[in-house]
Amino acid sequence: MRTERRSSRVLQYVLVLLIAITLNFMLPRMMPGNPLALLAGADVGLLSPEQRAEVAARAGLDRSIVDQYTAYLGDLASGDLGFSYRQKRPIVDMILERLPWTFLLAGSALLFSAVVGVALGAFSAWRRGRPADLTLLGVMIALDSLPSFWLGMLFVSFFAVQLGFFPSGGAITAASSLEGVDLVLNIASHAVLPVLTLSLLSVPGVYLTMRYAMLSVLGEDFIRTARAKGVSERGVLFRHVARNALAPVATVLALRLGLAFGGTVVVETVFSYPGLGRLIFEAVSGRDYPVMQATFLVFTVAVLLSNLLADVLYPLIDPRARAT
Amino acid sequence: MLGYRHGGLAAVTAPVERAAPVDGGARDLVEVDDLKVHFPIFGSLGRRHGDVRAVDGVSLRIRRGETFGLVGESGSGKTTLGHAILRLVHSTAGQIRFDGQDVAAVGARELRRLRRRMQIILQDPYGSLDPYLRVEAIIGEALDIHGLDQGPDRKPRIAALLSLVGLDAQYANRFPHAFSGGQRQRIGIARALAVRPEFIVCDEPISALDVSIQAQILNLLLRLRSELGLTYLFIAHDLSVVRHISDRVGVMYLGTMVEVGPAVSIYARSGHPYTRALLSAIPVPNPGAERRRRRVILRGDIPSPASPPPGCRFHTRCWLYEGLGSPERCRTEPPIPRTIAPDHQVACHFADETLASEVGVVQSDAPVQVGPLPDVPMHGAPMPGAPMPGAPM
Repeated sequence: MRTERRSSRVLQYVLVLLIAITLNFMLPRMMPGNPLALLAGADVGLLSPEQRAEVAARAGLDRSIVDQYTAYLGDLASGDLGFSYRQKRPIVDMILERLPWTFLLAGSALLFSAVVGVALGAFSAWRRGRPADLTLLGVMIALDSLPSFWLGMLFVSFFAVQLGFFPSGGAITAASSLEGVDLVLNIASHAVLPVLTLSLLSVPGVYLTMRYAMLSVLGEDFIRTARAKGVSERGVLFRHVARNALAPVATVLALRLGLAFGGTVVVETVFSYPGLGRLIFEAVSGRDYPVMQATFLVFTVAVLLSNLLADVLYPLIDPRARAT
Repeated sequence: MLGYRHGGLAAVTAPVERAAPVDGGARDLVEVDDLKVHFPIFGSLGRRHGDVRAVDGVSLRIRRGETFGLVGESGSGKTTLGHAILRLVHSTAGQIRFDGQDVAAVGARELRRLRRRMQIILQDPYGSLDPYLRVEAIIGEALDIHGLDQGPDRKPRIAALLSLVGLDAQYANRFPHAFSGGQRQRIGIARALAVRPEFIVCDEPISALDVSIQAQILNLLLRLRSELGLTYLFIAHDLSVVRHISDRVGVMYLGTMVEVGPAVSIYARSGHPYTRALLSAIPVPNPGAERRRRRVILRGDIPSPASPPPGCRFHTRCWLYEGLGSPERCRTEPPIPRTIAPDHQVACHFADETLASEVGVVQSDAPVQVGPLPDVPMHGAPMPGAPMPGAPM
């Protein structure tokens, strides 16, 4: 029963992935104009006739749509995401080069916002209705409505340019031969501001979820039961309330992992950080369609994986979800 | 409450009678005096709009070893009263003493000690158990907090508690969601019994259960009472259940106690129109008697406890008030409890007229309810009633 349900879940994800891939395949072929332009980038005119022939052959534009589709699936399966004629490089190399940086940003930001958001949310719920809670709540709602590019630029001008605490851009000091601890510190100092920007944008969401989840658990009867047992206020909060509140928060966090990837587009651009997000920005501004297509696919997969993660995590946290 | 006391003649002719201690001078286990529990209502911008007066000047005594039945509609304040006695809600004014100790005033450590002696069984068996804890932890947590049956005694003790309430000890490793409502309520009872309390507030422990399960749980509570010598405050919203198990009964309406007396006396000759209305809502199993008796049905909802009606709080829905041509006294003067029979007090200006009425009284000698309720065995669990192996409580 359980494995059956799990496998049907996995099947759903495979189906969604397949649909995403299919859309990705159809888009350049359905858009008006020459699909060749969309597959090779805007400036078909700059390509030599041989190159044009190669693009057409690669995409199989002369063959039937079914053949093209199976060829596309085959390419994907073998890890071939296409070729950037603009950069004259296989796209998969470009993505693999950028991916670690984005993982670094999105992962650290998620971790940071999880810790801070959960802690502050729990604190707020503990002091519910008191000045400390209401102040924090107000600050979080205000923070939640700030645009990321604005916050990022503020950080750059203040911490990097005016105070000179952190570098204003890049992921690592160029042309340096740093090693060991110095290398780590160099990378970390470059990551601080973008991570902070990304985090500040997702802390409010985590905070609000945690606070609300805890407040609603506090109203439950089993909290009354715990108090009747003689459990101390701290015991009630940690053993009963926080534990019950964590399930929705974990779901939000897992889903945010996908969103965090999306958030990197703006933040990496502001901090000229060499991640996947900036690759998208570069591809869009340079109308490098094959790169756009491939990065979109990567983002789709990231969102799907984070959803899958939420699905897998939930029953580990909530015993009720483990039931058949 | 003082304001209520300078009433008319009734105050002079019928002084409030304190319930006499049952065993020669020893204190009653629970003493509540003029208790008020008000909840503030906040509007937008955090402005206080007023108070919900959930409990508004209630006094009662619960004697050792007795079962005190507390009835009233939803919103009458009976649950709040029960919770306030255990300090699960804070009281606004008045006194609560448990075995002589002021419950509202004790510090955290003393409160914990008190909580070992007084417990609660909550109404909703689905909400009252933490879904993240196994049964073993739900029961064991209470033991751990009070340092009871630790170490090698812990496991057998939990098993003994489970079998005491008629559950298989092998269920200790399951989570609450694996159980039915009746089974969950048994877990709730085992949990309450874990600390070997003397006093248990049963907060509508059977209202949320299927009718067939209700009898099981009720009989379980009765059996535990006699085996363990427990004192109960049994809260319910209808009189038929309470009659079955109570020694004395209190009837609440809109935050006040309108009638208190021995169960027999309340059922035979109640002196309050509200109690009569509740009595007439009990189905009578004898069709002849059912046809003969006079019933009243209360109209409308209970008024808001934020702004209770002046005078007698019940006058807005009172059949007697209508029948007597709306006497002004009911609208202006809060009635003071007076004794109409031994140990039986009523807060009604027209208790004599109520006593003379036949409303709600069963006209034949057929009892309202007969004998102990049938006990239906549960699937997969031993019958309650199996003696518990060597675990004296």
